[in-house]
Amino acid sequence: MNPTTDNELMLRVKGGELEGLNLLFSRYQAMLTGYFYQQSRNHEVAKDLTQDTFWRILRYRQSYQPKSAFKAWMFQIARNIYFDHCKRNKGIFENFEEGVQKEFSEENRPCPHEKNDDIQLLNQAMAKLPEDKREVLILARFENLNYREIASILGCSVNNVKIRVYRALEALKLNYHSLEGGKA
Amino acid sequence: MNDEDIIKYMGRLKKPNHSAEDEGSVGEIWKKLSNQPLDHDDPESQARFAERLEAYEQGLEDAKSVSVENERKTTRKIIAFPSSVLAAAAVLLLSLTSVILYNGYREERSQSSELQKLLTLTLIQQNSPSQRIDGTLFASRIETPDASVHQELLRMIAKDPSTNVRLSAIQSLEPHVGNSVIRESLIELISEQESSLVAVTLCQVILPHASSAEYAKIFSEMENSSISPERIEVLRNSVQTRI
Repeated sequence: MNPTTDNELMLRVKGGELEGLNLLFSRYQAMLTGYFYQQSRNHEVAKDLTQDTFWRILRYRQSYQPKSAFKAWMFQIARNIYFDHCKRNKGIFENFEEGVQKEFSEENRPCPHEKNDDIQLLNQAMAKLPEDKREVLILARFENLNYREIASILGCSVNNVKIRVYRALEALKLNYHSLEGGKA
Repeated sequence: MNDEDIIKYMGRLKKPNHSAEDEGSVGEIWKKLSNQPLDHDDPESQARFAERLEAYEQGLEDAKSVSVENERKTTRKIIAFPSSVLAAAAVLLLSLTSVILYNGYREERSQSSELQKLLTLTLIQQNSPSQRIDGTLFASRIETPDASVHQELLRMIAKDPSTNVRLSAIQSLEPHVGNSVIRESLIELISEQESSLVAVTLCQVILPHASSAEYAKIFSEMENSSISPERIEVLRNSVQTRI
């Protein structure tokens, strides 16, 4: 068995060759963990949610339709997993901005790759964005999905995605310059 | 920028080799976002998922073997199923047929009883004594005569001008003398009889069913009736013999 595309792999999983999921996991775990981390600002939560996403893919493998791209289907599941997680932990993770502030506070040693001031500012600016704007930026830039894929995940048109990304970038830019000005 | 310009602009910005011109507006922040570090593969997570998947597959295998066993049991049940179903169906069919037949029989009998009752009441009210006698005979054939028939027969015993009709009415009521209400009514009619024959017949019909408490009233009624003292004595003796 050496299927190359995600869809082929997923179809085999659907057909009962469950070990194919290991390969899909290795392909997408970094992407999903990044998505969840950008949403939750918590590495452990991000890892757990990545596991949960693939667990749900496993359980609902029969609902996979080959006409839709695996990546888009996977992100739809990931979004639902994240919404469920937020509902379950309402009050704990409700204030995303506070989470970011805590993450960059003195007592919390930042991750080595986030020592850069610019990245910190950008993350704080992201934290001030409304949920929907933050999500579309994560998908478009951090996960580097194309507009068609994002449209499929969010259930809207490609042009609508472009406009949403643009509006989100505008808002992020404002937040960023505002933080930058305050720091200066 | 209007929506159309935004759509064009974002199309260009997404391309990796977009020009410096395109970096205006939100291009700068777009570029900064690309500097965000990416998460890398985590072998620990990979191992964790592989382990979970293996456990799931094992669970599926176990479930399959249980399922096969359950399937065998189900097959055995299915094989045993038809005979029990057939037996149940037969019992059900018999029950239904019985209920239908019984209902039909009951309905027929009920209709017949209603017709007899109607005929009795009609005949009892005829001018002809022979027809009234026929009415009393029809009354005796009604299996479950209701109070209206009894009342008509009692009225005939009390007031019918024909002795034969009264005697026939007494015979029709004889099977129901065990009913204390009817018996009490009959006792009261003894003294009202002009005909000693009718009075004696009444006493002969009542006495076998009377309670000891009723004897005094019956003999009191006899003494006020048209029955001769000698006849009363005979009746009294028959009662004492019975006691």
